Amino acid sequence: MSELTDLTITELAPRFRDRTLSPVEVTDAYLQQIDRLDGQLKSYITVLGDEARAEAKRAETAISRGEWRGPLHGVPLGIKDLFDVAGTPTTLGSKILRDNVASQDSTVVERLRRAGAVILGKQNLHEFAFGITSENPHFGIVRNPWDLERVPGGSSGGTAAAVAAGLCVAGLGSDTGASIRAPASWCGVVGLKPTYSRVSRAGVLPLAWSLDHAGPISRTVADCAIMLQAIAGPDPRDPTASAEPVPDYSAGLGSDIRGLRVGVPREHFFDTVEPDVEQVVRAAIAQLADLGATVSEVSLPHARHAQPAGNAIMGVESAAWHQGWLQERSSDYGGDVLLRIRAGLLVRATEYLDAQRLRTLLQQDFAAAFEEVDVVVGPTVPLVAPLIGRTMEASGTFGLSPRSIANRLTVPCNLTGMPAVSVPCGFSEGLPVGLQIMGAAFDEATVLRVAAAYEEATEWHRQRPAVAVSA
Amino acid sequence: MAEAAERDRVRAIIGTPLSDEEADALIVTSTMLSRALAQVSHAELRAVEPALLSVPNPRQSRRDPGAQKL
Repeated sequence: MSELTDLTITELAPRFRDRTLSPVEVTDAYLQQIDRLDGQLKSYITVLGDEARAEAKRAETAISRGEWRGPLHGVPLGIKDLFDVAGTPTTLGSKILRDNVASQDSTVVERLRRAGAVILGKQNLHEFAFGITSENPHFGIVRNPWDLERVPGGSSGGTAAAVAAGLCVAGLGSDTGASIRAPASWCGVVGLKPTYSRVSRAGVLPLAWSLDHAGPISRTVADCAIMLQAIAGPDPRDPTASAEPVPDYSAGLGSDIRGLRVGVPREHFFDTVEPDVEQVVRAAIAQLADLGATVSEVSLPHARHAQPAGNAIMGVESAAWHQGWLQERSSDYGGDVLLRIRAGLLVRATEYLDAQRLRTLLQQDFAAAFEEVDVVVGPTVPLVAPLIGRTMEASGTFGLSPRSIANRLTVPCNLTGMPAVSVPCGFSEGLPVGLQIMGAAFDEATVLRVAAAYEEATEWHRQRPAVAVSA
Repeated sequence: MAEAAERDRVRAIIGTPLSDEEADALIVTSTMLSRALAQVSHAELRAVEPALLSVPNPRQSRRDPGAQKL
């Protein structure tokens, strides 16, 4: 990373505002970084170089006239390639949608533009957002900046890899079972899945309607809060978007967490977790206690059923969306994704409804837990980033394939719709580990406050992968 | 390896030609999912209604008891 591409949103904003730094200069630095590194990383599908320079120039001109719009004005961002950006293809990482040019911005992109952000390009992902690795057969395998032989996670793998390697300041991802938090964990960055309906999904291509969430990936919690502030809120284009008032997400950052109640799940969240990962996460929880939080156990007895319930619902909803293509264009799918979507056609109606009833039970579990605590914490993913091409193979302490276990700790919050963030909390085998902080519905502010307090007390978020530093 | 009849059943549902290998992979995946879902206590499932809203209701997992019925 050059000095410029190392700066966060909170560091860039005052410099843009007082004109000691130019958005054009910073955008150029990012485009150079993309040029240098993305041949290896494959984190972008479409780079919008000319458009980004023009947007940066407009931002510079506006700021020089005293028309500073806020902390995102002039900041170069990346967008996962399932959000519509007018005039560019929204491929969803697929061959089928390679030429699907959007006529209108998605609401979230429109809001980022209104806040003055510069869009650097559309980022690579697991095909159709249906997978945990981002080994994309059509646009290249995204590589983890911490170890180029490993996957970055998915499905927002391009966005997380780009944020970690300094190929954008921050980015927009989506999360249906793990897809913001798992890549954030494996790439050593911050990823927030907000409450379901907190962020509009208008102009966002779906994987599974009732589980899909849009949210930010960034290098710091404060940047995550700024991104969420810009994109949250009701939207006439998305009837599911909530009218719940949007609080100031940055206001509570920096305040201490003394007396805040932190719950550690008794069941599920530490089962089948690699011992080194558990050790790192337990140390992070001890750090929260050192900061004054009250740590106690909570019971989530149905969490162990969340993964099959999530997979059943995801399979059925995705199969419904893909129906025509499954018949007519099956040869245009990657093998793993085709299998997963077809499997959705085999889920019985009674199984689908059982999965929905399990969802109710899980919501009841968390409602009871939030009577006792303010947040629930645990690992984001049970293991560190696996090797490319080996994710289907049984491995590790428990002899399970990485793909089969990667979303088991994240999918509960997709089923309940609760907010959850992954924040860097250490390393195992030289690879990043994430701490997951889950909160009550619409209480992103508390989730971010805890994450920020932890981040402030540690140095993990300042670590950068060698590939970025040496560029 | 699956029985021929089971493969044919899967082919009929999918609606496109499948190799034996493809059909077997689907049968394995589907069987594993069915078995995992069957682990949930039927009595507990019977006690609740499915989340039949087209969207989950995140307020049900909120700590404010007054908000839980929304």
